[in-house]
Amino acid sequence: MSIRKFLDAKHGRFIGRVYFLVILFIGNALIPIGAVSHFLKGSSPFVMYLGIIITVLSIAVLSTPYDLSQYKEDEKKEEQNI
Amino acid sequence: MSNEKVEATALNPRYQEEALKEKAYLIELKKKPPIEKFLGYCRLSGPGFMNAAFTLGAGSFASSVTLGAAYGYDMLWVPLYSFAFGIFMLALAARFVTASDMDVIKAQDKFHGKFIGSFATGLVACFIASIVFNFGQYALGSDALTSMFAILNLNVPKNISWIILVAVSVPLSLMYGSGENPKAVRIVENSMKIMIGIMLVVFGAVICVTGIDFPAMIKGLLLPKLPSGIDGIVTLIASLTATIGVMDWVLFNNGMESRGYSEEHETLGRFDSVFGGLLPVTLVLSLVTIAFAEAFAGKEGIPTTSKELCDALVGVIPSVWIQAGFYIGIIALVCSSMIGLSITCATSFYQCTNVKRDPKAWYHPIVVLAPQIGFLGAFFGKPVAIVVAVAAMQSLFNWISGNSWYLLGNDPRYLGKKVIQSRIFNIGILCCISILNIVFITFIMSKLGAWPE
Repeated sequence: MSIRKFLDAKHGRFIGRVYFLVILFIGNALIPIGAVSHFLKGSSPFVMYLGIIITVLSIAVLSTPYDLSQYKEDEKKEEQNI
Repeated sequence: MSNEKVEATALNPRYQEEALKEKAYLIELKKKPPIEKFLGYCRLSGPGFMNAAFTLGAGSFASSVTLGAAYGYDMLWVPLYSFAFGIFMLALAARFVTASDMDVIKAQDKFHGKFIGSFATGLVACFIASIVFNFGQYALGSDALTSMFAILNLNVPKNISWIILVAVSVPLSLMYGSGENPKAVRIVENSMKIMIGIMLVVFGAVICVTGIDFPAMIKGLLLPKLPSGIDGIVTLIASLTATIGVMDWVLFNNGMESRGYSEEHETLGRFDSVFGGLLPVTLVLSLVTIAFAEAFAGKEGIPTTSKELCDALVGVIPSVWIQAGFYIGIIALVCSSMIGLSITCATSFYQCTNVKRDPKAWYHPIVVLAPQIGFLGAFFGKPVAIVVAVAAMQSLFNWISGNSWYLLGNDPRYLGKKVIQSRIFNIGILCCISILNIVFITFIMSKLGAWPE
């Protein structure tokens, strides 16, 4: 399965984009946590850099646009009851 | 078509005569040469200025003062870059309004649940926050008025001066209402443009007195420099969020809805977010930062209270008229934010409840003027505990709403074929969400004692 298909298909309760948003959040969280331990406690900056890498990779994946070839013309109207 | 749908269509500003004329004009404008197109878009701009006027409030003023006084020109890039990231969310708001008839909060309710739509975005991040944040506006505005009268040898205490803020903000807030009357909407938009003009002129005059270091300004504006130490990073994060958040997106979204934006308006919406939003906000906040950078270079005692913020520059401005102008700039800044808060309060209330949006109903003025309870701020200052609690909830709901908006932007059930097709657009939105996530995490960490308060 391509990443594009994975992102917009349902896996359990949620579509793939939701799972990657959770990964993005974890990556974002590691940045300040790592920054505090590095700047205040003098420990290794590994956690902060790991957070930055996860953030960049998640953004790269999540920026993939929806595949319009999958789109059915009446899908929007049905969903919005127009 | 059912009677309800006919009524909804008649009430929708998109189908009113003025909006339809504007739509036809925009179709013609697209065929014109660039300069004519630019001037045409300038003439039609409005929601972006509303957004700028709202963003330029007590919070962004205080953070610009702190950045200027503590770091000189080094952090001048903060308002520019934070609003530049926010622009992707504003462009997303423009896409929502122009590609769908459904309100964004209603769409969040439908596709992500009422907790995320009505509760998180509508009720907490917009409605309650607009009431609570008005206390700070009154505190700063009434101090500015009292200080301005003092230099003219008039004794007008704070417990009276706040009435002037009411006199300016209430009529304009009521006139805008919840955005049903396009002519009234245009009047309020033009008033906001005038207030931004006042801010630019008076803060520009202050800069003429305090002086300006052009090479340092250009370097500080374009080359991001991180402050040293954890205190600097805390200040940086606070300043990044002072300029853009979920209230700004919702206000911009509702402003475009009130003007009846439809599919032909998307380019205008994007143009407006840059020329009506980014440029005025960056200019005004940069002028404030520069003034305080010049006045406080190497000195101790950064102003923090509303009284200190108002009086901080008086010592370095010799002319009484420029001193008065500085206070007028603060008053314009505060009043424009108060109007924005009232509008956000009303529009978000109607969108997140099932209460009918009726400007003639008895409850309508109460909803619009609910943030005016903030006049108590003139007597007691900001209710710090409540402001902190709401800021905490807002930092939580900012990122929830941000994620929800990203998903809506990539959801064909809401946008159909107008779903986001640009990778760069998505990257901008995700960078904005990342900033909101980091703000939320640092807030939690500070509450757990793992991050300095």
